[in-house]
Amino acid sequence: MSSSKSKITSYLKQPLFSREEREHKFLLGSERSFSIKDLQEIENERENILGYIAGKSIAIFLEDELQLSSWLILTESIVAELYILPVMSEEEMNNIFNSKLIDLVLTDRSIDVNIESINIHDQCSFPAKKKNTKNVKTNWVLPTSGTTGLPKFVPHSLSTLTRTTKKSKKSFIWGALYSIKRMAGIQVFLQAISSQNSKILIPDSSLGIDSKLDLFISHNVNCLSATPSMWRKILMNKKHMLMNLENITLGGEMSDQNILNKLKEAYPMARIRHIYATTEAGVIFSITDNKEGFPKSFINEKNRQPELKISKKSTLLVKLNSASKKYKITNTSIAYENNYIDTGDLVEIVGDRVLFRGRESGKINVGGNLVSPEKIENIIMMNEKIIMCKVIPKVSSIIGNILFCEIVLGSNVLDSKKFIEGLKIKLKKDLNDYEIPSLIRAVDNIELNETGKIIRK
Amino acid sequence: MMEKTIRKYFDEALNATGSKLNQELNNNTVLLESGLDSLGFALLVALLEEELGFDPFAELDDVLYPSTFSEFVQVYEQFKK
Repeated sequence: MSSSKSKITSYLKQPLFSREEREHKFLLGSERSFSIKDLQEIENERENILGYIAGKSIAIFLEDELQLSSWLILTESIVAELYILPVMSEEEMNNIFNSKLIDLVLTDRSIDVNIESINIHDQCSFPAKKKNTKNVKTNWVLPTSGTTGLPKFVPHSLSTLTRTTKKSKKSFIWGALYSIKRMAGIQVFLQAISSQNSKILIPDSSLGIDSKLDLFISHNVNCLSATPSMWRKILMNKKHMLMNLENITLGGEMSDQNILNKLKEAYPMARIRHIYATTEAGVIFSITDNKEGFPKSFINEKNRQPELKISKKSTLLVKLNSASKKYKITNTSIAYENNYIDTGDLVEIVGDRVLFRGRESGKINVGGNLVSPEKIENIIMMNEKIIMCKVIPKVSSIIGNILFCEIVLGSNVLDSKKFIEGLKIKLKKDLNDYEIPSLIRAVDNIELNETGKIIRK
Repeated sequence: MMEKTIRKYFDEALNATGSKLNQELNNNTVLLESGLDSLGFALLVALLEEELGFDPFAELDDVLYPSTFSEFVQVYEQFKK
């Protein structure tokens, strides 16, 4: 979408905005905020750095997400490649830099690594170089959590990242709950800045959900995107009632009917959509009918972009079109046969709908039967009094795996022991024997990882 | 102390698996006849691992599987040393 691209680069290049437009603060933080005018001032102040990095392949390692968002705009069309690094150790960074594919790293703190590092706060003395005025097509290289824990790097361009971005005249104020270092956060960021009157509020990552909600409320955030697990946590906090949300997006985990219903009930005026995306393919589809899963008609549909198929293992396959075919650094192929990638997400056709059944890699072997923890969690969460649920395997030296389950109960449940006994009886009807957790425990909280998903270890 | 902890989780495992003790749990009680089934056992060992931080059956190469309750307690007491 070239109009989005020019929107971002024109923030700095085109002086044709009205004064009001140039002074409109669209990147908001807890303490500071930026307008186009502010970014142009930074661009002037940092002319030396920008001139030095022009045309190079750089990594960006910034802790402050507001700074990161402004530097993404500043470096777009200037650097050849922009590797956005997630939180990682110097050792992990050096492993990546050993590939010699990255020229330098831009950072906001002092790090000890094996390539040149430039601190954005330093008054750097670079030779005053005339800035390359030719627009470079920047490759945005985004991390995705590999199963081994080491991130894989997926190259994208601004056009592939903004393929599904929609422009609007409305004044949308987005809250950033995802890290801007990851695909989900970048999607929200790009959506938020693609329209003239929109803004994005980026709270300090160190803040807890309660403080973030305070910020969102005080800034009148009306658009919010989060994982279903994050949404469950938000709904647990009474402050959620003080937000007037117009746009609600869910992604990153399976959106079950339960959470969709609860959000509809909490925000009857909001447009709710759940998005299915992967770092490799970007946004695959977006569902707005308030039902879980997606229409069966999407499978093998000829005009669908991207095309979808179901594998023999019942996982969803997605055809990669415009996105690049190889991971950076490792240079391994992203897609397999005929350019389809295996998302690793199990699906099942139920009537005219395709439902997600969990991660293939997440299956647990219980006495020879493979179970999907997500499927069990969704069935348990059909009970309205259960706010959050996690099912994990406990490796047993005695009989293989057994299932443990933690649940967060609503405040209206007075006797958790009795409730759990009742739940177990009900589960005997809803689940196979081997799917029923051996132990169900009521807890106060279930931890989420840095991408807002349940930690399954 | 160890015995008290084990008894506590024994009860919890019984509860969780909907089983009941068919006799009093004393030193000579034969475990597999106590009323707790294999799933209950697996649960007991998993719970004890959460509480104590170790699972002797997983970590010791040559464990003599206990047949009575006191032998079971002994396995844990010896591991702890």
